[in-house]
Amino acid sequence: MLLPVTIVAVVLGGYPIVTGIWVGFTNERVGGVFGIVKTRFVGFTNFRTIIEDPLFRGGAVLILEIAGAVVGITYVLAYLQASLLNMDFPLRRVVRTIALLPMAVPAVVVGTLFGYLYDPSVGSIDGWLVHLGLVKNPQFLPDANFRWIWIAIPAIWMALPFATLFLLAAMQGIDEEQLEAATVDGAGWARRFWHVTFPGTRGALAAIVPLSFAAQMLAFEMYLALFGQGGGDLASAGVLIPTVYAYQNLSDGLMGRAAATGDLILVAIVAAFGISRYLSLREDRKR
Amino acid sequence: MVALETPRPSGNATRARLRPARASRSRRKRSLGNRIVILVGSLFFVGFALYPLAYLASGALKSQSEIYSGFAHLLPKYATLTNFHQLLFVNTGVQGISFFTAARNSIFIALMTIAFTVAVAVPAAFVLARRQTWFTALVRGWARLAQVVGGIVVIIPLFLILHHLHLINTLVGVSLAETIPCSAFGIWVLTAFVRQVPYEIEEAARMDGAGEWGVLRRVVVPLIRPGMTSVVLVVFLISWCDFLNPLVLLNNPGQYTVTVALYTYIGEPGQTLWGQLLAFGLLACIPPLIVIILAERHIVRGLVAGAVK
Repeated sequence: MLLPVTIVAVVLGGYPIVTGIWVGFTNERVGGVFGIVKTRFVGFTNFRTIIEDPLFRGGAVLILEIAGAVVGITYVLAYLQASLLNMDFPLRRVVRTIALLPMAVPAVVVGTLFGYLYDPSVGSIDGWLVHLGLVKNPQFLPDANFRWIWIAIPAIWMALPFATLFLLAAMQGIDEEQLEAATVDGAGWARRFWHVTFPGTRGALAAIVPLSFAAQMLAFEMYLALFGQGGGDLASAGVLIPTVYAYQNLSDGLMGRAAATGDLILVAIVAAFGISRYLSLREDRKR
Repeated sequence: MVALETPRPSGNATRARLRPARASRSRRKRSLGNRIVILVGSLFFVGFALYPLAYLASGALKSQSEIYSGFAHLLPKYATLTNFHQLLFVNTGVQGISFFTAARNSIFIALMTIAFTVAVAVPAAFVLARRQTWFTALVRGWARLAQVVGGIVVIIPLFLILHHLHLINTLVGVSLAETIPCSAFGIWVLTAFVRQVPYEIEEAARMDGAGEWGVLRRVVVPLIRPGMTSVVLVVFLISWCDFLNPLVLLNNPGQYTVTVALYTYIGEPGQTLWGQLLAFGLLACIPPLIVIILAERHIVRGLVAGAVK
């Protein structure tokens, strides 16, 4: 029985990732206008081309900013929401179900939907901002000032339900007696949170935050759908994030360059993955 | 197929997991300030979750002229089902894709992905839960990594591999691609469930002459059924919502899934048929919404079990 598992693990797991890393070092092409070019090893040529491209560099910086903002804000909100749902009140179950609903919305619909809300001529958010006098000339919001906030909001909207569930599960592992003891000692909500709840969930947080960061680095279709209708061209909007950059090369048949972009994303993810493992191991040792 | 059984209530232990810590006792001594905090908090989070969804539904019920008539009110002045009618029965989209065809493709891919995932994850979880070698450690490491690394990083090699196998432009190819993250997730969740199966029961079955597969099928599978239900439902959500795999691996509009078909409706700036686009988006949300509302507990259990080590 070990044999089928071996085969499956190698075929499904190892082979594509290893192939993907390798293709990044070749000039592999599929179709396109280039005709048949023999695939060969080209060293770091693809990586050099990508890193020297200002469009890629701009997109990479942007996605790092957005990913940081999304993860930070999501987990602050998730702590608040999980604390709320950890209390007992009428309609708690209804609130929890509603809070989970964004999970049911495909990312491409989220992008489309926020593209609608942000649209200068038909969108309700833009409409409100003009109505309240906060914006003079309506424009597609991700093109406006503080663009990263507008880009981050749909990503936060999508990420919040899972973050909340995760923290809620961690909070329910906290010893109730500690919370009661703190209450008896006169600790208010904030101090109970800081001295009991937060230390009790820190291990779980350390494990999940880098993974959430990785998920943000890989986010793709939400951005494609969001900008597909507002500004149209992502490159001219200055939001050619690495996943979209890789996709454009893929569409052009430049598999080597696309795979090399993927390799760079992979490096960022593996780094986050390593930090996650390191932090959760350290947390385990403390206990 | 075992895994496709409808969800049913399971033991109290799992149900109690996400209950609040202290129940009725704390409710009695709740102060006014506390109640205001709960009320404001609930309103904020409910509003945050529902605001975009409310506009999705509202826009889908508006005519094109109403959408372009200035301030976007939440309640349509003249609610109409024209968009849905257009979408489902008259206009079959920019590239001639009907919603029904797309939904059939999506469901077919989801069912195939579920079947592949169960076939891979159940035996693998059984082995990983019961044996500890360097190799099982490696597979567990992969199962963790493959849940994190996906999307564009894996689609490029997959495209090349499926290209060589002549599986580009086939729904099966898309299912195989989706099986990679899904089976990693399934292995992760089910390993935890197999660990809870008492080893004595397996021993007893072996004494009675059952082989490895016999033990798996007759003893382990019935006992991990709640976990399998969670995996099946989460895999359905992942597969239905998947966009990148069908986008890259399918070129024939007749094979597009709901998410890719939706994307083809996004027009040039200023020419978007918002009503139809939003109606399409709303239709795309309905199957996952039904699954989440009806089987919330299973989904939550699966996701939390998948994330906690």
